[in-house]
Amino acid sequence: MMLERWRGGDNAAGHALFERHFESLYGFFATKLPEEADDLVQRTMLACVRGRESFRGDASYRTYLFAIARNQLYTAIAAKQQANTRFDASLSSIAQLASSAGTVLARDQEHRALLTALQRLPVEQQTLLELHYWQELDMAQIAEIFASNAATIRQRIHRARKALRDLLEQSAPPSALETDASLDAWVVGLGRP
Amino acid sequence: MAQDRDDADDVKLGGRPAIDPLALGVARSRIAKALFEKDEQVRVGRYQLLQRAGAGGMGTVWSAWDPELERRVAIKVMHVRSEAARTLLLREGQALAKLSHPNIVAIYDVGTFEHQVYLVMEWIAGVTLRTHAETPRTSRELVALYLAAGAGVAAAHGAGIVHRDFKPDNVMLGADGRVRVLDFGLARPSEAASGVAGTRRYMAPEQAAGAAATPAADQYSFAVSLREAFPSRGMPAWIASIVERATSDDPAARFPDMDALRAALARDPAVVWRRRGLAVAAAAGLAGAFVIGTSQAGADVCGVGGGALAEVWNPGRLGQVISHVTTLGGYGASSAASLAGELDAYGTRWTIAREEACQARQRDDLTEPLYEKTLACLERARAALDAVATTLARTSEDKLAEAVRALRELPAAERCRAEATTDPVPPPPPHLAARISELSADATRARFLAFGADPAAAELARRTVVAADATGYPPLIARAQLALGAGLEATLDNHTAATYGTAADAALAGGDDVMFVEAFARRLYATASLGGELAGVTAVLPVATTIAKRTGAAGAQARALLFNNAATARLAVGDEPGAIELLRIARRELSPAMSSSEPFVILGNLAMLVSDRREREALFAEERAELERTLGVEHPFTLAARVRAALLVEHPRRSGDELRELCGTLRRLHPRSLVSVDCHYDLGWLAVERGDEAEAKAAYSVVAAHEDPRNARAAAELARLAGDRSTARADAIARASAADAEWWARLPAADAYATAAAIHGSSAEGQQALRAARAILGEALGYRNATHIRRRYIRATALLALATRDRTLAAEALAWYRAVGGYDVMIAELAAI
Repeated sequence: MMLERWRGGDNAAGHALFERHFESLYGFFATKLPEEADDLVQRTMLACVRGRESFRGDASYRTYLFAIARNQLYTAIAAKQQANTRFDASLSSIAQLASSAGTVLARDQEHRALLTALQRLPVEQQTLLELHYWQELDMAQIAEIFASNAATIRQRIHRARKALRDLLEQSAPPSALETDASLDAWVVGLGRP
Repeated sequence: MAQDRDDADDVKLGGRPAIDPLALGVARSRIAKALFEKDEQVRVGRYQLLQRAGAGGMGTVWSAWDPELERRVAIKVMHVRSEAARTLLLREGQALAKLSHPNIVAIYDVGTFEHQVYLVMEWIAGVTLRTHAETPRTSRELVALYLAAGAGVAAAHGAGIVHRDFKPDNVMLGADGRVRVLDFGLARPSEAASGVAGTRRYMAPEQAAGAAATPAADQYSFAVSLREAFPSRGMPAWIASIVERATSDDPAARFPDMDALRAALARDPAVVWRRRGLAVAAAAGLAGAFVIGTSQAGADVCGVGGGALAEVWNPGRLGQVISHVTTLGGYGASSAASLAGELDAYGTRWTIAREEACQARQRDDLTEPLYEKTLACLERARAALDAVATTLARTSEDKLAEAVRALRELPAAERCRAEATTDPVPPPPPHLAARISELSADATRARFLAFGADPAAAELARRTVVAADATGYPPLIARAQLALGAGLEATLDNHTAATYGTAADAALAGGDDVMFVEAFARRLYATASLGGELAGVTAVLPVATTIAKRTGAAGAQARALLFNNAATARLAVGDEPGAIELLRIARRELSPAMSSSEPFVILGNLAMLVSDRREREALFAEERAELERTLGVEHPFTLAARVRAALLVEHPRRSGDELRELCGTLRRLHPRSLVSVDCHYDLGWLAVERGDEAEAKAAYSVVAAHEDPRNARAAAELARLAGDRSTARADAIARASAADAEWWARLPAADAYATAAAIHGSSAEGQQALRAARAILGEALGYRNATHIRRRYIRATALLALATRDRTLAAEALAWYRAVGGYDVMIAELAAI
């Protein structure tokens, strides 16, 4: 197990693990707090190596990694909040928090529209959708990341997808908005940011 | 659009990824370096990328360092899809490089890198005209700016180069006041084809329709940009008529060329302005440099904070920092570029904060007194930056750690506005405001010089104290005295505590509670550590605590410091439980939002005192994480905290493994540091205990080569390991240090006795040496129950038990060895008694 070897002090194993997951982890943060993506990736990796849980294989390692990444993300967002307000991931969106989020990512008009819409969703919904569409995690894994169960997560993703569709009303091609499946295909087709 | 995407953007086929691969590469190498100390700098050609500065349709712009010419540059990296496009871009780049004009960004170099073409340009610190125009400007200023930009475009036309994408985002107003046009002429197939709305707005109709771009099309874009710079109804009629002509749909109806347009733009105002007696360099000369900020008060209040920044931070300074720090050993060489990058990023944030404050004032979002307060705060931030840059450009290898820490302590300029609003300190009397702002910037400069252990700190602080006293304004006096205290503390001067006391009194008189708490906390620590009348100071502690509690969130860091330092004062009088309790209170004030490393020493302090192993290790781990976050993984203070933690690990193999790794890092990065000696000294001790002579020799050789009180003992041990049977050296050391008054100063004597005992074996002399070592160590444990002392004490006990076959001693050693694990051989020998 790479993680165990890294925890045991084998930096080469740690480096291999880092190389394997760096891009998806970086992408995960870059759509939300691009200015802090570097730092957040680093904190996530450090939190992994300092954690105590053990893992059966790489698939569950990815789940673990994103569970930590989500924690780090929420903590970082909470730290950006004004002193008197409390961060609630089910209410606040990245668009409310940061003025210039995501500008480093958009590759064209269509892609920008999608990112802008995602960033206008509450952070929790944005995170759910991105894990679902771009990180190739299944419902059970996402449920684990959110410390919830698959049925609830399925429902929340359904709701998030509906919210996304509403926001995309103006900017997505009409064919993408016909059914849930066509929306899914369009979002996945645009690729990971 | 959907069809376009199918063939162009399929990520799985390695199409255009949205996160620029260079950005990913820089992030990857930076993080890998932080996590694994792998150092792979990202270079494009010979240029070393520092930070991403922006991105546009054409590619990404980076700030970079040219190591050959030792200067800061901007690099634009453009992705191209075909060989033909690459050749075209290269040819255009070469043509641009030949263009030299004060209002055109200078191109230094053109090249290819992997499948991309890059352009190396002069680095411009400043803002784009779009950003600049976000604040309402006078027509006079706008016309002057556009005349200068137009001079650049006209010069390019003269050389046969068409811009093709003129817009406010492509014109920079530098901190030096000079206007420069960027992004000339480069082929833009994607934008032209897809008609991205943002650019199309400026595009001449014939160009949008697909015709080749001409100088007349540039004229059209130029005029649209100019029109946009004015608020919807704010454009003077005479300018509107010029814009109207330049934006005619028929190119032939526009001005014959850019010079004609510029002449029209310059004509009318020249008359008006001359009558008012204002000199406008750009309008009069129709070319060349134009300086903002020389006009009368009232106009251009926001004339770009970049100019103010350039006084303390500029390319020359950046070069000095990089070239000096690079010479400061392994740590300096590995961190020079990123330190300079951090300073630079701080400068950028400062400029933005300055600009925003000014704009807020102009919108009337900020009252005059609050604006003054914000500016004073920004002045202090700038002085701090100046101090850190000065320090980094001349520090020595052994002081680099402090200089880097000072850099990380720089006050957040973007918080100045919010702090001005919440800060309860009354503003200074208006007639003294300017003088006080200046002196408080000096005090801050002195403070940061002191943080960075720069020798000039105390002298500047002393002068500032004298000047501050003359103003009679207590908050300033407090700030100056606090700076002087920091300067004195750096040299362990015994006036430190009294100076902090004066600062505390002045802060209290001035109503600055947070500063009072900080000054008092530092006075407490200075009294406890440098000697002084501790009882008198601790008597005031309850009052200070009450004040600290009412400072709210703004006082969290000062409170943390207060409780931590109160704990050190408890320790100084031997009250360990009291110290632990205070440290637990201090710990509650810590927050991951704190950017300063100082409060997190609380975690390490507490770790060294708690008896539960798991709690101790968790605290050390947390301290390490916070220091790595605030100071970096390679910082000597971070590594020192890890060495302290490793010394307290009871299991001998785990302790040794951690020390071995740390010693390796220290030899590479901080070979001459005290931490390195600490690390190697105990690595050597553990190696002897384990019987690993090779490692013991290597580790003690490092110690013996240092100017350090422990080098003589290390040399004696090395001689023994080399077969020298004389105990004369060890005996001399033991005699000399055993006579010392302080318990910790006698510890080397215990180790020297251990050397002597190892030579004598189980003879009477050997037993006598072991008893002497055991007595010293036993007494030390009474002061400080630490693992590395306990380990030595138990070893002396165990060896004595083996020499004398004493079962009581054996039982004492066995109990500890069994509890910590990893001592199987020793346990077997002792159990056999």
